Amino acid sequence: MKTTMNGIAAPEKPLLEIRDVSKTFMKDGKEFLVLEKVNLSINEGEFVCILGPTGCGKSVTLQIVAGLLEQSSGSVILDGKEEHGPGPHKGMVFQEYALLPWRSVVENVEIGLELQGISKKERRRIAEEQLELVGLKGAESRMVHEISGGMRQRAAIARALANRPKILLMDEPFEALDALTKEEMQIQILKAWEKTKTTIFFVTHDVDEAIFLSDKLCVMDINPGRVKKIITNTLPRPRHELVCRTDKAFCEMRDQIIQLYSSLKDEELDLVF
Amino acid sequence: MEDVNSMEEEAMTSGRQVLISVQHVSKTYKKDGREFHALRDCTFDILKNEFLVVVGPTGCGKSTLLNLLAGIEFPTSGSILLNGAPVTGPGADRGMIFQDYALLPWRSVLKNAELGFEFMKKPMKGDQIKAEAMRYLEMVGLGYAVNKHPGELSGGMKRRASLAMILAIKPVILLMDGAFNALDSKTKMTMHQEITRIWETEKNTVVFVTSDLDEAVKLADRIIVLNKDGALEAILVNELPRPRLGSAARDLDFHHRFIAFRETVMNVIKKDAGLRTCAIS
Amino acid sequence: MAKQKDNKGSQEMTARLADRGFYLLGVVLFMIVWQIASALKLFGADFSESFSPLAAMLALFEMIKNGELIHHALPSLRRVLTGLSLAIVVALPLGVLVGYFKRIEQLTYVVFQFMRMISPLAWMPIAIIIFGVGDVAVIFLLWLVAIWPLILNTSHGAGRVSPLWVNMAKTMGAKDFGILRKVIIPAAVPDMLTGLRLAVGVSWIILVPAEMLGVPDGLGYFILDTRDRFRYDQLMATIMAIGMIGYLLDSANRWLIHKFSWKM
Repeated sequence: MKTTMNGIAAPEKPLLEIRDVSKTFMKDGKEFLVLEKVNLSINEGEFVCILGPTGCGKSVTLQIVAGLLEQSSGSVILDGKEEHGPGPHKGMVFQEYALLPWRSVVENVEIGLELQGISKKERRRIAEEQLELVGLKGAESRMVHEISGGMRQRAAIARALANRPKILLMDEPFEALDALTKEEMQIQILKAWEKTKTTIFFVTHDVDEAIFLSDKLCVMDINPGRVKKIITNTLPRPRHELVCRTDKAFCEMRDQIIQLYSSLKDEELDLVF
Repeated sequence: MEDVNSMEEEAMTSGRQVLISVQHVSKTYKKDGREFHALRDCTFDILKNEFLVVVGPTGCGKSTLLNLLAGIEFPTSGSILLNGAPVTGPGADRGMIFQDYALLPWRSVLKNAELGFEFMKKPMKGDQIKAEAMRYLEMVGLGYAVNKHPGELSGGMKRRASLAMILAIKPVILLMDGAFNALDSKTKMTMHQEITRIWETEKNTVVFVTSDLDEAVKLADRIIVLNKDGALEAILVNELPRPRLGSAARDLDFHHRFIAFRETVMNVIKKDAGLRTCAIS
Repeated sequence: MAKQKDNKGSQEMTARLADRGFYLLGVVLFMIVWQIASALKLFGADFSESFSPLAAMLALFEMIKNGELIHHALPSLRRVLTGLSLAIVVALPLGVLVGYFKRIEQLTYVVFQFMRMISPLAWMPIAIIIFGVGDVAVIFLLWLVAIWPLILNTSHGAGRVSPLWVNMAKTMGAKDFGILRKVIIPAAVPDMLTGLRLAVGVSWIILVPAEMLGVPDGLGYFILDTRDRFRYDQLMATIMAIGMIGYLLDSANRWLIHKFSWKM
C-alpha cells in the first residue's frame, strides 16, 4: 500500500497494465484476430501466469509486453508510462534459451550490461552474483554447447535478471526440459523470485506449472484469443516446501481450470494437466 | 514397494507371452580412459503386445537400452533374448524411430516410405510396394502429402513420415527413442493418439523411451524406471483404463487417478535423485 | 588397471599412426606414378628426363640452397597478402551490410553475381592502363579475385543469424549498432573464415598468371624465366613449390576455422 501526502491510503497501483490490447495478423490477404481486448494488471512483486491452449494468444500477449510485437490497438503501461519497443527494463526469457554459442556462460549473462556500457569488473561481479542465484556457480567459463538444457535456461534467467528488470517475462521457459529438471527449475525460479522480489509474468500451457508458481492465473480462451477468467491462487507459500500436486487444494484448482474448458473440443485442448 | 511390483509383474507375466528377455544386462563405455556405466545389471521381460515405457534421469542409459534391443550395440555382460534366441544384430523385426528423423531429403514422402521394401531380399512388385506404403501413410494421417519432400514438411509431419516408413516394414517391435520430443504440444497430442491407435490395430510391441512423465503415463502398460546409475529402480504397472486420451482425460475422477499415478512415478525418480518426495493423497 | 590404460593409449597411437601413414602413402604413390610416367617418356622423348620428380626435387633443393626460391616466393606472398588484406577491409563490412539489410542485398545482388563470374584476368589490360605495368596492377587483380568469396560468404553468414538472437539482443537494450557488433558479426565469423579460405585459394591460383604481367620477380615470373632458359627441371620445381606453399596456406586457414568457429 502506498500512502499519499495527506495520509489517506491509495489503492495499490499496478506495475503493469495491459489495456484493451488486440492483435490482428494478415494471412493470405485476410485479417485474423488473434487477440481480442485483453485486459490484465500485474502488481509489483506479483507472480502472474498466463495459461491456455495453442492459439489463445498467450505468447503474443507476452511479446507485445516485451515490445517485440506491436499491438493493433490498446496499450501497455509499465510503471505509469506507456511502453513502446523492447528494453532491458523488461527481462525476457525465451523457450529456446537464445544463448550466444560463441560466448561462455558468464559472458552470455554479461551481454546486457555490456550493451549498457558497464565496466568489465562491475559486470563480472553482477553476472557472478546472478549465476549464484540461479544455482550455476562454478559453470561460469563453460561454453553453451557443453551444458544441459536446464543449465542453459538457468543462464538465460541469470542474463535477464542481471539487467535488474522491473518485470521478468518468461515464454514457456521449461517446456523443453525433462520432468525432473522441469520441477527443479520451477523450485529454482520460485526461490529466485522470493529473493529478488522481481515481478514475473509467465506463459505456460502446463496447468500444474501455472498453479504451482502463480499468485494470479490468467486463463485464456481461443477463437479469438481472449481472457476467459482471472483466478486468484490461494495456495500457501513458500510452496516448494509445502505443496504437492495431489493435495486437495491443488486438485480443486486444477479441476476448476479443466472445467473452464468444457466447451472446447478434445483436439483443441492441448494443455498439459 | 518393490515386492508389490514384482508380484504384480509376475501376475502380468503369467498371463502373457514373453517376447524379449533382458537378463543381467550391463553396458560400460570407456571415455577418456575411464569406465562409465550406462546400464548396470538390468533384468526384466518385455511382453508380447505390451506398450512399455522407459523413463529415468538424463544419462541413465535409456537410449543405450534401446540400442541394445535394436542390436546396434551389444551388452558388456548379460544377454538379451528375443523369442528365446540372443540378439546378434539389427533386424527388420525391430523398427527403430529416432529423435532425429532419418528421412532421405531427395525422396518424396511416398518414396521414403517405400525405402524399406527396396532392401528386402524378395523384391515385391512396384504397385504392390506403393499400395503398402500408402496404407501406412494414410494410417499416420499423411495421405494428403505423399508427393511432398521432407524439406517441405513440418516437424510433426516428418515424425509421422518416419513412423510410416518404419511401420511399413511391419516390425514386431517398435523401438522409439524420444520420438515426440521437441514437437509442439498440439502435434504431440495428435501423435499420442496416432501411436495408441496404431499399436491397438497393428498389435505390435512398443518400447518407448521418454523423459516426459505425462507422456509415459498416457501411453504405457508398464513403466520401467532406470536410476542415475543405470540400474533398474522400479517397474510400475499402469492400471489406468484406456482410452486415456481426448474426452476420457477430462473425466475428473479418471484425472485424479492419472495425477496420482504420475506423482507415484515422479516420486520414484525424485527418491533416486535424493529429493524430497510427496505424500500422495 | 594402469597397464590396461597404457595398452589402450598405445592402441590409439597406432590408429593415429596408421592415419598419418595413409596420407603419406598417397603422396608416395603419386610420386611413383609421376616417375614411371617420365621413365616411359610420356612427356615426349626430349623433355621427360627433366620433367621427372627426381630432377624436379634436385632442382628444388638447389633453388632453396642458392636462395632463388625465397627470392621469388617472398614477393609472391607479399602480393597475395596485400591483395587479401585490402579485400578483407572492403569485403567484410560490405558483406555484413549486404547480409543484414535486405534492401542492400537486393541492390547489389545482380551486380555482384555478374562481377564475380568475370575472370580477373579479363581486367588485365585495364589494370595495366590504369596502374601501369608492375606490382600495383598485380595486387589489384588479386584484390579483385579475393573480394567475391569474402563478400558472399560474409553476407550469407550475417543473413542467416537466428532471429531469436536478434530479439534477445533487443530485449537486452541493443539498438542496430549493438546488434551488429554483439550478434551479427560474431555469428558470421565462421562464414567469414570459410570465405577467407576460398579467397586465399583462388588468389594463389590467379597469382601465377598475374605475375606474368611484367613484374621482375615472383613465382609466376620465375615460371616464364625457367622456360626461357630451358630449365624444365627448375620449372617443375617451381610448380612443386607453388603447390606446397598453397597447401600450407590452406592448412593455416583450416586451423583458423577450427580455432575460431563456434559450436551450437
